[in-house]
Amino acid sequence: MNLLKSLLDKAVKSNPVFGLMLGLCPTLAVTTSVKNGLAMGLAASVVLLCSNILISLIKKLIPKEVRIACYIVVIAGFVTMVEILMKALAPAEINNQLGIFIPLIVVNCIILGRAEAFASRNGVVASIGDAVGIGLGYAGVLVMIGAIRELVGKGTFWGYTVWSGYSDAPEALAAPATVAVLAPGAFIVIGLLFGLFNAIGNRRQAAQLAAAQPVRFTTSADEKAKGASAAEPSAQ
Amino acid sequence: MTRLTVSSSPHIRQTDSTAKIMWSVVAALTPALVLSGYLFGWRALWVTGLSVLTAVVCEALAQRLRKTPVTIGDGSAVITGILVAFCMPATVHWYVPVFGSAAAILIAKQCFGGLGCNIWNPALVGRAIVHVSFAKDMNPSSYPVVHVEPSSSWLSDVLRHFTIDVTAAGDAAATAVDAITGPSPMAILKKGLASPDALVGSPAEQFTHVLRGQAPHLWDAFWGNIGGNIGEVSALLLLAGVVYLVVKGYVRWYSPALYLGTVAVLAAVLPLPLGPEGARWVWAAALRSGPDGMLYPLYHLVCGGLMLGALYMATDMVTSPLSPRGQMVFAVGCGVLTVLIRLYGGYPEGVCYSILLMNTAVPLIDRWTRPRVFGTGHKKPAPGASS
Repeated sequence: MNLLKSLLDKAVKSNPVFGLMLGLCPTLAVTTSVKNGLAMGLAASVVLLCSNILISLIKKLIPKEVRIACYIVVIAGFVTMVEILMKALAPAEINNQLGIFIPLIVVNCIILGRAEAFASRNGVVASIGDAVGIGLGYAGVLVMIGAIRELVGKGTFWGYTVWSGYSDAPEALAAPATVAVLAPGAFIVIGLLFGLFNAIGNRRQAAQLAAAQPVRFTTSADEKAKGASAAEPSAQ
Repeated sequence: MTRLTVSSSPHIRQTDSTAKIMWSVVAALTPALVLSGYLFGWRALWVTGLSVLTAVVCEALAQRLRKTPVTIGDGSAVITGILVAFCMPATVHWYVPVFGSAAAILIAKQCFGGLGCNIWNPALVGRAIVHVSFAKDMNPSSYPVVHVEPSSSWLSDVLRHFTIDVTAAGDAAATAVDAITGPSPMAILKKGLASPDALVGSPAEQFTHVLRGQAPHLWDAFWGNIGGNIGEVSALLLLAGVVYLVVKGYVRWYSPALYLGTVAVLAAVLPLPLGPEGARWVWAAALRSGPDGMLYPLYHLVCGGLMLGALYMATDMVTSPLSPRGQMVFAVGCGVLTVLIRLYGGYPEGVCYSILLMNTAVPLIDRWTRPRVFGTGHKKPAPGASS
């Protein structure tokens, strides 16, 4: 239970995209569909898992001065493996769509960030847990954004038509808004999701603060903090 | 006994309020709306109504969510709704104005903090979004054109004298056809330049050739008897509306004038060949071809979204620079970008993106054109230097 809770904490509370604001480049670029989002999320998670394990194993051997370079070499090695594996095994369609973004996982700041902030300071088991939690969070966000953009922009989910595209009937129900799968749509969707997450976070924080407020002498600073979090607009 | 009223300054107050200005703009846009209802039928009014309704509902919803006062009575959302609808053909599906208005209000306006805080003109963002979303709806291969026999007045006679006759309007009237369809003038201008058979002779001859063949009569294009988007067809009525706003003092005349002037000059000059050939062409246009030489820039002025953009969108108080000098820079920049996109870009129409780009530059322009505070120093500080 404790493990599950800490996993969820990693995936949701310190979510790489919404919590830490890391790895936004592939998040914006490849989430044009659920499939792409899932493939990217899984590839990055696998690299994260492997690099976390290896780095936590060899953390004593790495000289402090050149640690970033060492991390990058380790990550690049795993990314190369994943890339070659994906070229061999994944459908060509996905490989074409993800294209350059698979090699670019090397410079994905989530992976480097976890290596620096967690794997180099913790044991192997904890690092595996960290990688799984963060990887799940990242893949989940990519799938979520991919689903929204695919549904709105193409009217499909996982390639299957959910609602009608253009029909020749003069009064079709509606047509997908192509903007969602284009670059501006990525920014708009991510921006709105940021707003939503912040709103939920603020509300939860306010609720916690209210619940944790016992009947006691309150200082003016307390009041101010409470007022600030309550006055935060609920939507972006 | 007389009472002496003692009050603190200011003693001279403007009676203008946001609502008053906004509803004046709505009033200025109404003639163009009425004309489009006449030209394109109820469909145009239905699209506009739907757009306005969506804009107002979204504004109220967003303000409710943001826990700010609901200010749908000030008319700013109504203007956005009208302008979004004005940018689309009357033939669009119902969801196009709905999506456009909702995007304009929710994303471009309320996400940035509501009226006065938005970086980009909401209506233009809405237009850009539906433009890339519903390309088929927004760029129909042909627009419905209701050809109405132009009235014979001294003005139309004068203009007719200066322009070319096009048989399409006459034919339609002669054969008692109620409506024919045709491509938009902007598409003609774009395609005409690109088609190989037009590349014969000097630029003047090219334009004349292309325009003679396909373009509508200039007078028709001026008062609105052309295919196009709901609110963009009638340059005449849009101009009339903006004259009202200028008289009321809500729009400074030089901003639209500079925008339109820049477009006219560049559209006349840029297509010229370089060197002595160009100079020769100018003389030829002025002497031999007569007013035909002026046709091309004139079509650029009256066709497409330029009038609507220059008169009502580039003059938006929120998204244009504060100082007169800044507004001049802004207007000229819009004009340059519009002509560059129209002549050399991929799109036939560049008004929307040019104004959006210049909106982005407004903080910079404001910084560069900060007026000197009265009584402080004689020399202007270096551009961008903090005061």
